[in-house]
Amino acid sequence: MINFSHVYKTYPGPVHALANVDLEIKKGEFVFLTGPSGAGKTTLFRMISAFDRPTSGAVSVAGYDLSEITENEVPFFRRKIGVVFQDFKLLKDRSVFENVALPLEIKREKESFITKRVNDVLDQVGLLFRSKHLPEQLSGGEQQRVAIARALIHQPGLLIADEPTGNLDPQLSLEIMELLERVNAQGTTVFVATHDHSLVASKPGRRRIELKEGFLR
Amino acid sequence: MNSVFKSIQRSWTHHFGTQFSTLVVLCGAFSVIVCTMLISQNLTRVLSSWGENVQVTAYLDEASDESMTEKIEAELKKLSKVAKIEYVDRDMATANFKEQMASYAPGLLSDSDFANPFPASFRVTLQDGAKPEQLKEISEKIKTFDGIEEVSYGQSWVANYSTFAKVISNFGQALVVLLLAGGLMIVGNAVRASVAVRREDVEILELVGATKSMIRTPFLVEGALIGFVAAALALVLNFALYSFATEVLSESLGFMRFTEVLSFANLITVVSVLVLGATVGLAGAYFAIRGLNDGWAASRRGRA
Repeated sequence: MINFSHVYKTYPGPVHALANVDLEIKKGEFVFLTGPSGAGKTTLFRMISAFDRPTSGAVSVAGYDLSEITENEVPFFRRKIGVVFQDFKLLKDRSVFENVALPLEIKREKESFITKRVNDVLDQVGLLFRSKHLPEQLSGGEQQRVAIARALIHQPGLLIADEPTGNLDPQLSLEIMELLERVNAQGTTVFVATHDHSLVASKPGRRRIELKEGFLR
Repeated sequence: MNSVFKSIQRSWTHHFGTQFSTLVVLCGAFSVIVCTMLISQNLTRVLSSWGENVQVTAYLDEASDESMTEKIEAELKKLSKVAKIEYVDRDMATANFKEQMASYAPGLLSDSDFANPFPASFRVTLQDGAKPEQLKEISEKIKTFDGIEEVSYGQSWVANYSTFAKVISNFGQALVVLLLAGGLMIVGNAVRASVAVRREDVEILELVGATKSMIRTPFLVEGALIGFVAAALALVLNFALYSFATEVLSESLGFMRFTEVLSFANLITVVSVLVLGATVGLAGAYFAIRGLNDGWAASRRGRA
């Protein structure tokens, strides 16, 4: 599902964000990426979501060779993956329903299908009763569940989450992790970046990889 | 298309202040453009209408006989841009003079001793739209005809009129270009501010797989609409101003018959201003969004 081969990323400075990263995540896996702030986790996630390209090396995600991807292919690639961020990235002027429906609207799905699918997914994350609310009317945990619902609405093969519990208290963090596990149980590959070691420790059976100063350990 | 208008509606609901100020500033810029165009256009019309009264008068040589006069008339008819040729013999010229002078010297009409000093002449009226330069050119040509003593066409007036009209026209054009460039920058800055406020929204749309055209279209349509509405408002404002000005002129300077000459923008000009407004809005929006909607770095080689 995700394949990094000898990937380097250097920003002007020079700042070596990633150095010789080799990584393979198979379909259906649940993998934690850990490391302190500035270790290169966000850089790695930006590459997986085609927001950035490596200085050298090859990146392949969900069947797309991101080293060769064209500008026209980028949006279609992004429709194959789901992405969740620490700061939720919800559209503030749209309701919960409209936020979750966004990827399907972009794919120009039928309105009846969108309504049914959004209601199903909101029910799945326990927020059907909040569908008409605006994001600012929700708690942090609820906003993150909306972001996860949006990432799952188009049934992606891969869900990547960058510090999804970074703004949440421990109880809400556990709820979000349980939700991600349920998603993984349905066959979606889940890749979660976090610097919360206690969260990773609470899921001992899961694969864990660590980034430190741009190197994978 | 529905989603585009929904997006514009959201933009106006959530960023009303920014959008409204853009509209007001752009409307101001277009108002000045339209006003400049109207002043320039109407000044040219007024000057042209005065110019229409200028005729070429070709005075005949005292020695010219009837056959020579007929020959000159035939030559005049061959000239291009000539609308009317009128022969004024010596008696008619005297009669005209006496008539014009009647109020100043009432006794002149009945004075049998008044000797006739006037030569016969041809009054040549040019077609509508003839330019002052053509008046000069025709006069020069007539001067070369046999039997012509002198040609008069209000030389100094034509030269001044021509220079004045050119200055007004050039100044108007320069002002329009300047204001258009300013308008473009205003829309660009306004849309940039509007996009900057929604920069995160743009990132989110990029993230969930919206194509460039999906992201940019609402901004471009919005820019074009703001430009169009601003231009339309500018036309309405200028029409109100024009109506007021013509009313004042007809009341205070009615004898000059300005209202017969002045006109508001014609349909083609109105449509052109509206299209120009929409184009300026669209271009401003395009240049603003182009730099911000850029989440495709992974697909660009050599920019890592």
